[in-house]
Amino acid sequence: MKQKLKNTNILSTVLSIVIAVLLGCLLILLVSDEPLSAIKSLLVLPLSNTFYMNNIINKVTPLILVGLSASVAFRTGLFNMGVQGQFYIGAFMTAIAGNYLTGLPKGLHIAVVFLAAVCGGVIYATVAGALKAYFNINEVVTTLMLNYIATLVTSGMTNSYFRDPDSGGVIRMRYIPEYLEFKEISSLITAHAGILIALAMVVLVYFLMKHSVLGYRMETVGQNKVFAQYGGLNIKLITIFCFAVSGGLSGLAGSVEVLGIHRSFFDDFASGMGGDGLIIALLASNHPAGVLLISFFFAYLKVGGQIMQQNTDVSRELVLIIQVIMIMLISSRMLTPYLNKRKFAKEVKKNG
Amino acid sequence: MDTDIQNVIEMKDMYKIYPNGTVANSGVNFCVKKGEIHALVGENGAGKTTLMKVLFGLEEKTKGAVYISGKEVNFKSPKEAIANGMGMVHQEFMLVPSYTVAQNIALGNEKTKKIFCDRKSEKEQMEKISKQFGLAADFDEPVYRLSVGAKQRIEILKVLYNNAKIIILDEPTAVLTPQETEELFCSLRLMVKDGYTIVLITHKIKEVMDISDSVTVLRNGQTIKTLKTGETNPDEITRLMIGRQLKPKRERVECKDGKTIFEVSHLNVMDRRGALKVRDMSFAIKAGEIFGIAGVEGNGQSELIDAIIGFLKPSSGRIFYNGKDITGISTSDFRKESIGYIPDDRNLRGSSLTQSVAENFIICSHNSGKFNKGPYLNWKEVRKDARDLIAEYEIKADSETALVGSMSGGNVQKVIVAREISKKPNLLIACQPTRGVDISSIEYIHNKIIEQRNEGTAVLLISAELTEIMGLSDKIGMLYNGELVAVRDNDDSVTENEIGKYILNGRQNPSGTEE
Amino acid sequence: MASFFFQQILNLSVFAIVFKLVAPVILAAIGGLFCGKVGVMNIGLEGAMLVSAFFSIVVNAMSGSWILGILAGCAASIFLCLMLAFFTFKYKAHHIVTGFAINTFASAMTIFLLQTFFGSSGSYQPEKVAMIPVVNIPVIENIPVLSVISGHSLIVWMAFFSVVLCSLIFYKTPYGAHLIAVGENVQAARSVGIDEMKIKYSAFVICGILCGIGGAFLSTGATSMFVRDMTAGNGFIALAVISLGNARPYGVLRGGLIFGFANAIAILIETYPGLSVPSQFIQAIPYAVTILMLTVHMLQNSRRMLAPAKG
Repeated sequence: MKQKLKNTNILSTVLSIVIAVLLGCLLILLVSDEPLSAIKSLLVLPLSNTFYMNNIINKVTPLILVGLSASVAFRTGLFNMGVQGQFYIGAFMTAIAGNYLTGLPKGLHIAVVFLAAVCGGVIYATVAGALKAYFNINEVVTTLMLNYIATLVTSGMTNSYFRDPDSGGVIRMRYIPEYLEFKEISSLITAHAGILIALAMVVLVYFLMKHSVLGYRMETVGQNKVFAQYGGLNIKLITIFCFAVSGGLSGLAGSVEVLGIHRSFFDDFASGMGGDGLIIALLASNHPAGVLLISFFFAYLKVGGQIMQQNTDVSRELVLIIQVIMIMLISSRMLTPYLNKRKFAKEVKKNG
Repeated sequence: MDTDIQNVIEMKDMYKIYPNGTVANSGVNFCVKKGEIHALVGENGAGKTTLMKVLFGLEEKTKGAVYISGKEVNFKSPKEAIANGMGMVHQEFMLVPSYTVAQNIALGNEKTKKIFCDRKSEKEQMEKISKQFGLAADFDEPVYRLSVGAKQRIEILKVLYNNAKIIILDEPTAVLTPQETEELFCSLRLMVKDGYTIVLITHKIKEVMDISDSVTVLRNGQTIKTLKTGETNPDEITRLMIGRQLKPKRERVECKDGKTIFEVSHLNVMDRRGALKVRDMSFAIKAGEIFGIAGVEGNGQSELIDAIIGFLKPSSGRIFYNGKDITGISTSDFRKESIGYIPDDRNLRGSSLTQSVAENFIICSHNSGKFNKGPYLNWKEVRKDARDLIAEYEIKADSETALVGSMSGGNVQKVIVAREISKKPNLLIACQPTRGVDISSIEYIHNKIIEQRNEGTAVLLISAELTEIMGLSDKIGMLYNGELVAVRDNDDSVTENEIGKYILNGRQNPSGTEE
Repeated sequence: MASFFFQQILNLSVFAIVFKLVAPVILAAIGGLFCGKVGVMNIGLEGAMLVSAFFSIVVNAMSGSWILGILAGCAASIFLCLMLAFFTFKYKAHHIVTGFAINTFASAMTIFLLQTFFGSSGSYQPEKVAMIPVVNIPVIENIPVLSVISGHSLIVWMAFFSVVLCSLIFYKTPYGAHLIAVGENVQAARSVGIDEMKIKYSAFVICGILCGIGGAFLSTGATSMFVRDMTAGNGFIALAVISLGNARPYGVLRGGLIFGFANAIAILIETYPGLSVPSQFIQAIPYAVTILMLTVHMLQNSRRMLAPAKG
């Protein structure tokens, strides 16, 4: 029974994606003077050569991490809308620790940089978690507010105190020392090694969610808080723990993005990241393997959107609109009843 | 066709099948004559409530025909039913807690002056109805402060205010004391005299005999028979309702004087708003003894339980378990003791409807070392254990991974009972353990509780159902306004009426009321 | 420094700043309150205001009429709110998820349209905008202290008026009684024949109108341009203001004003001569203030709960 349910879910997810992409194409037809070229740029070109494909891998790395971050919170029945803020804090801490703790031995320095980023994310998210746990302040509002604060404060710090004098018109910090940067995986796969960290996290989060005592507790709190409380679970601690894990993953995402791609902290350099994480988690029904797949799909669309914006007259915001259509179709499970009905009809037919 | 006009309600060959496949009604015929009190009886799950919900437009029928005063109708919403002079008092109260009594009664049928509510003329009409049928109410009081009996009266006033002539009452006495029930019946008799028609859903045969003119028996979604009350007797109705012989209750073995397992002494508990809800309560339960606490809901039961399990901190007094002071224990520590706790709210506290049976079983034991190695949870072991429990406790579930929410109330309750009793508890706390479950599950759970007692478990039973208290307890404590006003051994000298007086009026004194 | 503030307050420019800041927040909060009463925390307020800000300035520039601009903004905002209601009620999607999707949609769509039709990815500044008028009250504007109530935008007055209207609707009309009943106990409402869906959708339409007015103010009242994501969290702050006001209309007004004054003081600090704090820090103050106020508020509430009951 559960298996059947799962299949229907996967089918309806795939169908939603197809419908959303088709609607996106329709929108292109409506607004573009060169629709065919735009659609080709969006859907075909990303897979046409290794450069673009490596580009996809680079893009998928932070997406997996923020997707996992959001799904950990959703699983516990909490809305961490603050992925964006935690991501910036992680990135900012990476750049600070990378630039200003250079006296350390290289190996230790790398470890400290990661630690700083993850701790930054953890602490920042825990603020919202603690406010929720101890004062019952709605986490949606606080995390959204914390996003604005993180964006503005990191921007202000970078601009006023840590700005690289050689940065010209761009607001950014100094570039981090070369030995901290992620290397290319191989001469063929020129994507940076951050993807390996992301994949490791997928496995780790999978274990946490599906095969650990804590995962069971988090899920139970997410499904029925009163039941969990009556069963003797410490809701406050679990809430805070969940935010900490979620924030840590977001912070790590920020760190990987700086170490792998940007090599410095730029002002507001990845503004859609938090939103992407939330959408990915939703589309994946919070399953780590689903997060992996959906992230790849999103990265592919993003690269396609970029190519489309470069080559044609269609803006890449179109990709966002496609994503929103997907999320509406999925979260409302609009297609599920239809699919169920068909399955039912089929079964009736089979049984005579 | 003259006789048909006399039937204010006529339902022919009614079918109701829910989208998930549950068959609630299959071929029900139901006729009610004008000006009578018609009892609709049957076990839980026989389809009484569904039938009435279809009649009232809350559910859509699958098949069948409904006639009101000889005219075929097909209500799509309660609005249409109300417009046709029908009214329904539901099992759960349909009241808005923050509204005043007057606002609740007028809800959906407000009188207006220009575009604003005309509360004054509303109230005038309410007062008139209130006097006419002896239904007293304080119209300016917010509803959340009212007692259960008062809420019941508001529901009836609401129906009358909406000009209903045909009134359906769904298990109205389930939450009332014998005395309150009598008052309610007085009002109903007044209403019938005034030309109202009343359908009374119940499973209490005594009430059927007391007040109804006719009775229709449903079983398994079908009409078994319609009878004149005067021409039948309780035994016949019982036989028609159950359709089989009840298994005899498990024998109680006499217990040797066991040692005291659980003790509460001079306990005072305040609720979260700071109102004193449990007052100076003391009692002790020995091994192999069932201590029943009888009382109308809202007299401190939930605060007492919350204090015991660590949800609330008592303001004074002590709680001992096995001689150990567990006052103010945290809930997680409490759940680590070998104490079974069956909560009154099955769907919220007792189980997680959106999780599987297996996941529900391990809420207290997932970290005990039985299923886990450090942080690793062994699902194989969990599932195997769940399969065993499902078989042992005769739980009807597709598999151990079936969602609890897909199961019937009786089976959900069995899941909870299985979980709590499989802990092999020294103390079992059971709150309303059989509320709203079918008769065979009630039997099963009662027998399990007695079995535990016979094995030497101390049992604290809290129930608003007097028959349950009297059927199971060795000792009965009577709870009124947070106080145990009397404690009696449960022998033949205790009558339902006597308990009723205590739990309604508190300590007996000449005037009959306390304070 | 103290004398500087005193001067500013005496100057009464503080009030002008406060009202300008607070008007869209209050409008959105009252709109959100309607949704809240039927049980939905509408985080789509942000997106609804944003589309209104966009469409009102576009229509305003094309037609030369601020009234048509507001109407267009309201229409767009109502459309978005109804979409949210549709997915939430009809298809049982979680309202936070749909609200979030609506916000993403609003942001993406406005940028997409900006780029497609005006060729800019950042902002749109038409040459001629018919600004929403300012209300100058003839005699009063010349009286020293009283003049504080003159010279505000029409929308500021509408914001205050919406609070009064909301209170009347909630507590004095049958519609309000039904609305609150639907939110508190839907079964009860249904059992007396109240059409639950009609009530719920109408609440979202009202919310759409109010967010529409608030959004129009941002682009054609407070400024005369549209900037991408220009709502900048106003909708989210509105949600915080609702809980600050314990979900009551006048509470929302109070919460909104406290928020406004806190920010006005922050802005005054920014303009204090010789102070060199990064401007981003100052911009972050409203959000920090919101969190701080929520915390204080919840602390007070829990203390009130613990205090012994009277009687």
